[in-house]
Amino acid sequence: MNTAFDTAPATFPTPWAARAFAIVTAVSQAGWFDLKAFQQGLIAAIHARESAGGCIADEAIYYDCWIEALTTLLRDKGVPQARLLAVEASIRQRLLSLAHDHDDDDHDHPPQPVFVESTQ
Amino acid sequence: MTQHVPPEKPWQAVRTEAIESLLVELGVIDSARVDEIVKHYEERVGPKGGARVVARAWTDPAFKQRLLADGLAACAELGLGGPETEKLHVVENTATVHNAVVCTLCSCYPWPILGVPPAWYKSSAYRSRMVREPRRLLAEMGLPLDPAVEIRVWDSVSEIRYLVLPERPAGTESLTEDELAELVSRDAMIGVAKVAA
Repeated sequence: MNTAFDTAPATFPTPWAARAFAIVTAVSQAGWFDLKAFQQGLIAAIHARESAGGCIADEAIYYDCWIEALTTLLRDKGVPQARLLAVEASIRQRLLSLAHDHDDDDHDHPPQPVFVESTQ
Repeated sequence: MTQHVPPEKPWQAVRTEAIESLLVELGVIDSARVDEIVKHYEERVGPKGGARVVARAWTDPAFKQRLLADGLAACAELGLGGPETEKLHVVENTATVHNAVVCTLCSCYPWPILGVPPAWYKSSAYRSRMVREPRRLLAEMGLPLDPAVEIRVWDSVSEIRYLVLPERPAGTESLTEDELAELVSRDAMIGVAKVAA
C-alpha cells in the first residue's frame, strides 16, 4: 500500500473520472438530486462489488462504481435506460466515423507539409 | 508515415459523456459548470489548504479552539469549504492518543479541505483493515505507534467528515506559519503519518 508523503493534490486517474465527479457535484448543486442520494448509490455499488467477492483494488474500479451509481440515480430520476443507451450509441457512431475519416486521410493522401515557403 | 488510430474509448468514458449530454439536454447542468468544477479540483483544491488550517491551529490557540468546536466554520475563516462537506469534526492527536480517519462504506472525505482522496483511501483493504487492526495497518504504512498510545479510528459518513490535527513536531518553535504549513502532509491529516520537522 503506497502512502508516500505527498502534499501535492491527488489527481483524478482519467479525464472521464474527473468529469463524472464534476457532473455529480454540478447536479447536486443544481438541486436535481441530493448528494446523500448519490452517496447511498455509491455505497450500494461498492457493497455489491465487494459482497460478490471483488474488491476496490484500484482507482479504476472505484470510479466504475461511481459511474454505476450515477447511472442508477439517473434511472431512479425517471430517465429511461433506453434513452441513455441511444445517446451512447450515437457517441460510438460518431467516434467510428471519426476513425474512418482518419483512415481515409491516411490512405488516400500522403502527408502534406503544413507550410511551404517558396524558393526565391 | 504515422498512422493516427484513435484509441478505443472505454465504456466509462462513453457513459460519462452520454450522461452529461442527457443532463445538459434536460437543462439540469451546463457543460461550462462541469468544466469549472474539474478545473477547481484539479488546480486549486488540495491538501495545502488543510495544511494551512493545521499550521494556523498550531500558532493561534484561539483559532485552534474554534477549529475543534466547529471545523467547517474555522476553515471558512481561511476561505476553505464547499457544499461537499456539511460538518467537519477535527480530532487532535496528542502524545497518548492517535486519530485516524476512514470511510468504511465508500469514500467520504473532506474534499474541499484536502482535495481528491488518495487511491488507497478508497481501497477495500484500507477501509476494512483500519477498523479491524489499525495498529498493524498503520505500522505497515510506515507509522509504528507505541503500544501505550490509544488509537481512535473515525468513520466518515456523508454528514460528518473528519480531519486529524497532528501533533506539532518538536524543534519548530522558530518557524513561521507558512513554514509550518509546508511540513504538514495529507497523510498526517488523515492520520496515517506524523508530521516530521
